Amino acid sequence: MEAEFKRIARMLAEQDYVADESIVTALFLATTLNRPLLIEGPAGVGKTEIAKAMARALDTDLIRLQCYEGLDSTTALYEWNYQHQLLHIKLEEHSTKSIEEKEAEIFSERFLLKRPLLQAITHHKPPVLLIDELDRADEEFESFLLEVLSDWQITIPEIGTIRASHIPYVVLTSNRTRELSDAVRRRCLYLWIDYPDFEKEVAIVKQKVPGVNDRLAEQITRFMEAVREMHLAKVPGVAETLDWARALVALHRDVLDKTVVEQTLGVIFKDRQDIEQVRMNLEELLQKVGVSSRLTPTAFSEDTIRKTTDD
Amino acid sequence: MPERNQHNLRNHIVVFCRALRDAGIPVGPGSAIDALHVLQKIPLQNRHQVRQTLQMIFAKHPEEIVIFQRVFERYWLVRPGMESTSEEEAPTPSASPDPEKSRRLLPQLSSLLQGQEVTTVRDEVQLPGYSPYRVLTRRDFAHFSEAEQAEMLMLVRRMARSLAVQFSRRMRSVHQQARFDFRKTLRHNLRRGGEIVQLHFKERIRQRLKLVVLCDVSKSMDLYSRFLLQFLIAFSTVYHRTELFVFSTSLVRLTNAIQEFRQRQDWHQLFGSFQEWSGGTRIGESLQQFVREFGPMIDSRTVVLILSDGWDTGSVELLRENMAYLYRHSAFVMWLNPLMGFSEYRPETRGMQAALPYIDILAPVHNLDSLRQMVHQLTEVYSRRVHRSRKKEGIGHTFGKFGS
Repeated sequence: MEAEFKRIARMLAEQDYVADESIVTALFLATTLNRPLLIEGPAGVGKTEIAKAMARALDTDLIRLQCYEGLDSTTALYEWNYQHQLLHIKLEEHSTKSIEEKEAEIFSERFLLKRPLLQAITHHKPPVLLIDELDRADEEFESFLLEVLSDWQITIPEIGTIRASHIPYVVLTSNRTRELSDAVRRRCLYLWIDYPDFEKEVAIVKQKVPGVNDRLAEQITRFMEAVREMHLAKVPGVAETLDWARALVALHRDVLDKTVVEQTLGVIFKDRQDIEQVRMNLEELLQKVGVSSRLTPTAFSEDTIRKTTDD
Repeated sequence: MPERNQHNLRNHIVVFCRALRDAGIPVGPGSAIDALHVLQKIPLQNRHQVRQTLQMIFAKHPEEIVIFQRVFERYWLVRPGMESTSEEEAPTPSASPDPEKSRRLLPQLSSLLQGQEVTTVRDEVQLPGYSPYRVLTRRDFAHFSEAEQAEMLMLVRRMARSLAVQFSRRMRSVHQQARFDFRKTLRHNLRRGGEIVQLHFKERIRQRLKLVVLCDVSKSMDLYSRFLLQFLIAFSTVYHRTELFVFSTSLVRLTNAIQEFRQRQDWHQLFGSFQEWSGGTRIGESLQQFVREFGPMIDSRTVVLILSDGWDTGSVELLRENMAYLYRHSAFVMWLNPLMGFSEYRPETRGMQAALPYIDILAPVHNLDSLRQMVHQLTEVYSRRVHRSRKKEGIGHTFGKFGS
């Protein structure tokens, strides 16, 4: 078992995914117990990313069902390709086949449009089924999903019941814009992810942004930590941290200073009021991060100068 | 050895599940079986890992995680001989197969669960429905002691959630499935020589009500607004077509902030942040700010809820003008005034007088019953049982329509 744990941790690391112990445990449980994994947490902490990393780590396909308000069962299960069927009837108009034969042909898998849930059930090996942002779908859809997740079979009247050959690994995510029903919760394993701690975020930045140096990675992370303490309308997530780090690397910066932060605020904050609020408190924020705001241009390291002249 | 360990492990899980249930986490037998299954596969010496594993199996909600961690700590603290050797740290006490010991665990555990700390948890989780609740629903919010207020807030949140579920269900029962559009289908397919290739459906557009709430958080409203906001925030977790604004001398949009705070589970921060600026009220100016910045938000499927006692130090003219705007553009305007709870109250302040012609319903919000009535009213508005025209019969009719 210890080996199993290490295996999962190693596989995730191979996928460039910085996982802490709780995520490894969650994946271990999800695969061992074959239960859906429900992941909740603030936006931008990498919930969807887990499913992707999981699929890569298990060397299988990821089938994604993005939820939205008004999503119904047909969009999630299957539809008949009506136009295609009609054309087929037209073409076969003068053939000598019996009506039964024709009917069987029309309602065969050829004309079935598989939507994510049916795809997941009929996949040739157990895929990772990601049901993303379930909180956006309606309650009815939730109950419908419950049925599918417990029986793993889908009945198509014209064809019959399709049973899952392999039970997929299911990952559900929710941003908590709406409370999910207790029935769904009870059926799942539950993982709550918060913003990563300092060490983990630094590790993520270093892993995902090539060319970032240790000092910059730490400064960026510390700045983001301080920002998350503020009362903002849209708290920036890990995705924003990475975008910002990439932007700074592209600008050939290897330390933070006031000017560059001011210039790149738009990368981190997506709300006008937030930007204003941060700009007003920038001095204080930078002090917290340990960046002197009165930095002279000599702060360019030789490295930067070389890089810039190379271009 | 596995035989005995097995047995012991099972006992532990059963007792632990009972402890969790007592603390308010509804643990089903399925989870217990899962836990048992998994615990055989992980090294029990690693307490941290055991805890994480069990947490993912048993706690299914951020609130439950907190409770789980407390119960888990308790459980391992009571375990006899736990601190002695690392070998014994495991829940399978291979060194202490003594049945006496594990039996001793039970009363100890239960006595601990009766203890101060855990009982408070239990109170929080208990569903409302016992008798004190009924008494509480009729009492004015202002008459609660500090301790009761905390309990009330919990009740308010629970009630809001269940009401919102009912409310959104009702919204949906009116919604119809897409219908076959015969005309459009024929018309479009004539192009292809009359062969029916493309089907067309009439889609009924989802027209749920949108709630726009403007809540007065000035000093005089402090207590009531706190309850109503708690109520509405909880309501909006289920019914998310809700927009919240608070105002005193100026207006602030809360909808986004609430989203953030809900995700972070930090209620105190949210309330702390605008308590500081509760001062005087300038309703007219605040409404104008709303109309200017968010005016387009109001459409014919919007119900505007205004919570204020009408004590205004701002411009009455602005109040009238902007109330007129809201009235004209919305489906319904509901003004909630906590003072309506007093039977002798008449809306005679200048501000209220100016706003009155543009209010469809003036209602009290001073206790839980009135909050429930409010949701009931919204359902009526949605199913069009309450019409604007009825208002013309005289505003006087709506006074005390749902009483204190």
